[in-house]
Amino acid sequence: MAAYTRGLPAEVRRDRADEIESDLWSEIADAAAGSGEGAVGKDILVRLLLGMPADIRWRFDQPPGAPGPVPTVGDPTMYARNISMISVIGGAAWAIWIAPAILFGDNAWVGTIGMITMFTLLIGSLGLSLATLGFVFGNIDRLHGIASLLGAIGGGFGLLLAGGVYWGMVLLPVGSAAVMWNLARLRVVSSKLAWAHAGSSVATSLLALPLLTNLIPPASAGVAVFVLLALALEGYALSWIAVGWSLRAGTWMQEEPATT
Amino acid sequence: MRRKSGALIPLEVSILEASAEVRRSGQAEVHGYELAKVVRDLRHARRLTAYGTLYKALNRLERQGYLASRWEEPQIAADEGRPRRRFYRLTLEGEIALNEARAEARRTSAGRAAAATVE
Repeated sequence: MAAYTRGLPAEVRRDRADEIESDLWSEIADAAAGSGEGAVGKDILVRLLLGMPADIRWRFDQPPGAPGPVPTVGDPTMYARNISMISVIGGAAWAIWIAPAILFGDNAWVGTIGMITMFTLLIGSLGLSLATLGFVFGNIDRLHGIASLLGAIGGGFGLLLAGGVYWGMVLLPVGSAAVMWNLARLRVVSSKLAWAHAGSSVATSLLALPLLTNLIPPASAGVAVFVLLALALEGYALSWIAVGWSLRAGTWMQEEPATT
Repeated sequence: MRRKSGALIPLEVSILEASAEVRRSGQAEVHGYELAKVVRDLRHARRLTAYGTLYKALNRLERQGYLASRWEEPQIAADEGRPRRRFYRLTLEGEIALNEARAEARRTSAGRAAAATVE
């Protein structure tokens, strides 16, 4: 809490800390009178973790040095348009070069072709990671906590992908699939697109995971594995383009009808 | 992304419902943890709403004027040997917003039922 309230006015920090401390105290006191400590410890941890994206979003909503009501800033539709555009650009960069890079192995990473491969990998990874994070933080109020958490983790690892942290190839699709699935339930994204995105994400993760964990050593994996992985990654990239394009007008800003 | 001003998400509607429920039971105001428990029961959820999600929603509802809050006297908390509590109560605006949300939900479910009948 000290981390995400840093830089805020003392009163705002104290109020936030006191309110959560009071909640924690009541929960522990309740548990002491009823269920065991082990169960409450787990519940507190889960509540803490699932609320982190909302904490971060709350932090960004606080004007520095000025507690109180937050003024409306900027055009919200423009935010949505920008994220949609980043989705299209990131997806296109992946669609163009990721598959050839996998299929052609070392030859895709040398000379001029290698520079282009690296450049598009960088743009693709950055684009899709930022798009995932953008969708998460743009919908933080209504996304399920688990979808937000998976999206934030996936987006974070995706940013490291261009630096050689290939776990992003598993965690980014898992995270973005969770977010898209949730957004489809909120009618922000069409269910067909969410299915396509989730399907290609699952295929990518299932194919990349054995290679990353050395369950299938890359050196001994058959060509078929790499062809399938390339196809899955192409599908994943195309689904991003489709999602970004479908939301290009910024319509994902619309709030779904409130229900009880 | 900012939501449309005044638009309520399901959690916020549940919080208003919970505040109204608490008031019906004769309690004028309620602190965050108690509210979280009522929300959990209303939503038939297994767990309490996450800290960040709950207090961000409460913060937003208060900014919209649907809830009002006050901190209890520090001495009371000190006497009872616990942290001070922030109490929330449903405002008139909150009650109106809740009624509108209920009406909207009824319209939505009626529309779905009509569509299902046509199909």
